[in-house]
Parts: sequence; C-alpha cells; structure tokens
Amino acid sequence: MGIIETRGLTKNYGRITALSELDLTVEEGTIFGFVGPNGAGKTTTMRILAALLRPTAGEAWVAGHSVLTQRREVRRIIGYMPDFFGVYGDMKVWEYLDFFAACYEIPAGIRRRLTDELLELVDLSHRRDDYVDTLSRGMKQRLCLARALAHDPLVLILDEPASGLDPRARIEIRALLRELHAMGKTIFVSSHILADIEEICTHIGIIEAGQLVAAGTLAEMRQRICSQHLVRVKLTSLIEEAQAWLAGHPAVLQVERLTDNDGNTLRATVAGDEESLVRLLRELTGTGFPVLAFYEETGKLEDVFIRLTKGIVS
Amino acid sequence: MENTIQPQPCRLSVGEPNPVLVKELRGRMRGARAFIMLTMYLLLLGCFMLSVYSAYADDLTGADMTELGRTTFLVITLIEILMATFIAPAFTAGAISGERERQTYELLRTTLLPARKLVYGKLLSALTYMFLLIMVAVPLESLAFIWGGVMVEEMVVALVLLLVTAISFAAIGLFFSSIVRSTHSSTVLSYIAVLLLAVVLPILLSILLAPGIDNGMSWTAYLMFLALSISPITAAVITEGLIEENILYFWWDSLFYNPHTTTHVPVPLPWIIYTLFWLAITAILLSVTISRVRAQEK
Repeated sequence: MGIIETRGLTKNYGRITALSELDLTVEEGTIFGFVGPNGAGKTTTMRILAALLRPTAGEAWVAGHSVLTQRREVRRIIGYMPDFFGVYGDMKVWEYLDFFAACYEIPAGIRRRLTDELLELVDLSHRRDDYVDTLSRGMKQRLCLARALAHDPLVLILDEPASGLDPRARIEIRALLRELHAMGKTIFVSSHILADIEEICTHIGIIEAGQLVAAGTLAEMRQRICSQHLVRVKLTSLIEEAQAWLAGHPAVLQVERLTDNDGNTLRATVAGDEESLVRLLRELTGTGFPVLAFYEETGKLEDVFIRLTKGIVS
Repeated sequence: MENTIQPQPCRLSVGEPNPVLVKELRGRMRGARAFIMLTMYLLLLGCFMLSVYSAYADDLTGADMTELGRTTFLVITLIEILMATFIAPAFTAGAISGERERQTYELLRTTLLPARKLVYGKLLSALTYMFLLIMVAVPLESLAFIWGGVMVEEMVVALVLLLVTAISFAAIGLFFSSIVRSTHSSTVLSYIAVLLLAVVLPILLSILLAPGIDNGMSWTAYLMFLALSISPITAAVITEGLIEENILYFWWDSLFYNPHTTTHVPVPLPWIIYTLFWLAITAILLSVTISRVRAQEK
C-alpha cells in the first residue's frame, strides 16, 4: 500500500470532468512526479489530497487517513504548497514562519529555533528580518516550502513548485527537493515541464484529461521508449509521397510532417527494435525516395510524455 | 484503509494566544497608520466637545454645568455608536475574502488552525482596535462627570450598547466576507445589511405601525417600541430619555388600555432588547461563518 492512494477519484465541475476514475499509488519515500499538460487534472488531484476540495466520487487516503473524513489527521501528515499562493507582504520573514508554525500548533517555546532551522534549510537566514514583500519570486517559493515544512510532515504535496522561476531558482528548488528526499520525505510534485521533474524523480505518473495515462518508476518509463523509436527523415523532394508511403508501412505507427525549417522533414514513430529502423531505411531508399538524413531523436522521458498525451487540454 | 500512520500529536500548549489575532494586530498596529487614525479620531471628538462647551461657556451656573455634562456625554456616546455602526463592518468585510484574494486562504486551511480559531481571531482583531477607539475616548467622556449630570449607570449602559454594536456589526462584515469571494462585494453587502437592519427596518416598521397607535400603550405601540429598539441610534436615544425621565434601567410596568380591560405589561428598556436581539443575530452569523470556513470546497 502506498502512502498516497486514490481509488476511482472523480471530480466534475458542472458538465466538465476534471478527474475521471483516477487510481493512483505513491509509495513512501519516493519522489513522485505528476506530469501532464495544463488542465489535465494535476491541481484538482492535489487539492483533493490536501483535503481542500471534495471529490464528486471516489476516495483518497494519505498515510491511511481518508481525505474526506479524517481531514485533520491528513493535514498533520502533509505539507502542501499550491501552484499560486500569496504571502503576507506586511510581515517579516521570521514572522511569516512563526505565524504558520503557530497555526500548526507548535509551541512558542520552540518556534524561534524552528524558524531559524527552516530558514537555514531554504537558505534564507540572511533575509530573516526583511519584509516578505521584498523577496524575489524564487525566495518566496522557498519560503512557502519552509512554511509547508514547519510541522515536519511525512508527505510533501507540491503543485508546480518551479513554475515561473528563473533557471537558477529552478536549480535551487530541485536541490532542495533532493535534500528533503534524503531526509526521508515522500514528495508528490507536479509539473507540466517534464525536464524539471525527470532529474529528481524516482517515479513518474502522466495524467491527461483527468485520466492517468501511465505511471511507474523512471526505469519502467524509459523501457517504454525502447519499444518505440522516434525517427526524423529529411528528404530533398517527394516529401508528400514519402509521408504517404511511411503512413502505409506496417512498422510505422504514426508519421507527421514537421513545419519548422524548410518543411522537408518527417517525424515517424516506428515500432520494433533497431533492426526495424535499418530495414525501414533500406526500403525507403530502395523505393527511390531521396533521403538526405535519417536519424533517431534522443530518447528522453519527454518523448514518453509527448507520445502518451494527445495535447487534449493544453 | 489499513496500515495508517499516526500523525504527530498536538504540541501547542494551552493558553497560547490565537495566532491569527497576533498576526492581525501586529499588522494593524505596525507603522504610523494606526496612531494617525487614533489621533484624528481624538481630535474630531475633541472638536465636538469644544463646540458643545463653547455653546454653554458664556454663563455657566450650577444647573448649566449639569446640562453641559449631559450634553457632552450624549454627543460623545452618539458619535461612538455611529463609529461602531459604520466602522466595525469595514474592519471585517475583507477578513476571509481578503485571504482568498491574497491567495493565502488555502495555505491557512491546510494548517491545523481550526475554522473557529480563524473566525474568532479575525473578529477579535477587529474588535480589539474598536475597543481601543472606545477606550481612548473614556477620558473625554469622563469630563462629563466633572461637570455633573451623568450617572455611572448611564455610562455602563452606553458602554454595553457600544460593545454590542461593535461585536454585532463586525460579525455582519465577517459573515459576508465568508460567503462572497471579493472584498468589494462583501463590503457593499455588509453596509446594505447594516443600513437595512439598523436604520431602514426600524423606521419602516415605525411608520407602518404608527397609524394603529391610540392614546396610551397598546400592542401596536409595543411592537413599534421593539422595532425602534433594533437600531443602535434610536435604542440609545430612547434609553437615555427613559433613564433621564424615570431613573430606571431595566423595565417598567406599562398600562395597556384595551377596549374592555386594562393590563400591566412589563416593557424592557431598549438597550436590553437591542442587546438580546443583536447578540442572538451575532451568534447565528458566527456559527454560519464558521461552518462556511470549515466546509470543503465542492
């Protein structure tokens, strides 16, 4: 059993279905990347898990506690960071953390030490007495993360923690998440930028149109790439004829014409191993198509994402 | 579900102040704004007192001094009641909706802070500042004692009216703040409710009931009396008039003349009706507000 479990989780907003029968398991001690295009249902899932939103149907548990009936226990266990959040601009950094620590029922006697430790963890000790409003976006993001850690939660639910950050701030957040993982926290993190997640996650779940398209360990997800290849074919002419020929080939699952550059490039999804690619190239040139280049795109998780999602909601 | 992991036990020691109250007060009292507002308020009250004093200043005899004392007390009390009526909702109309607008509401709702503590913290922070405004005017009001004509009991009744007004009208602002999303809408709705309940409704009922009043006390007049007691201003003025005339503080026995019989009916003074009515409304509004905050979004 996972530390996060959902069964048949469904959420409708009027006639719009945001989540449809979502079954999800997140194992304890993992960093689970929840990936999907904008509007796929990531935030809805996370808000249900944070006991903020009531599902239309289905159930969800965090550490065995129902998000519907044991909300207080769930809140004790999770640290939640929403995708969009505000800060109290008229508060100093230490006051902000002290306030939330008090909201998490931490006694005044230990809040001072705790605040200093949290600020050190997120590298904001030097801004302790500054007003929150004067912090950069990246710093506010780290402060919000420190806030979510005030009660030492077992599980962190982080909705797009790197969104809107500059490259340096993204790196800092990633480093922080790695450190938290090393501290034994289970991290359930969402992003629509797979590259941000790929580097730090142990597990990935891909969601689109409210449904889980794929989920597994990083190794399992990469395995999916090996059974399919993304190939670029550049021709000097006869581009439309080549596209039609490839579309009719039994080994080719999908073919599209790329509109970038000169428009003479096709991208094909080819089933099978590397031998299949060699055969396809031989047949292509043997048929008389003027092939200028034939190469495989680098197999990153991003490809899995692109292939599994159809861009329905993005 | 089996294999539940037990959350860490509650560690907050008993007797610690409400964190929302501490945060709000810290924010409200920080900087010069709060002190400028207090100074302006006291200057305004001082000006009113000066004008009252100058109206009597030419030839003050013993009897005039008593009159000066009473008038000063009445003017200050009415200004404070008006202030409480119209400032209290403004202090709370953005309490919950403001958190939503600032996108801090969800952060608060995922902590262990109970809905009840959030609501009471917001209410108390607004009331604390209101009480400060009421208390800083006490030295000015005390001048009425030096001049004479005002009894301690009258001052206590005035203070009760003020406190009830501040609490109830702050609760109205808080209630609307929890049911609408924007602070602007919440403020507009709060003022409409205050005007309807505290001004329009009592006047309207009085006008409707007035034609039915014959000579002497009747049930129609009784109802009209109750209606007028809902408004803080009429409740204060009628109470003061009855105390001054009859030196009674709680109720009097009134003779009801019906066509065939005459009965004795106890009539509570308006400040008692006002206090009971508004405290009941406050209790209802606060419980609805707490349940709104506690509820999960659907």
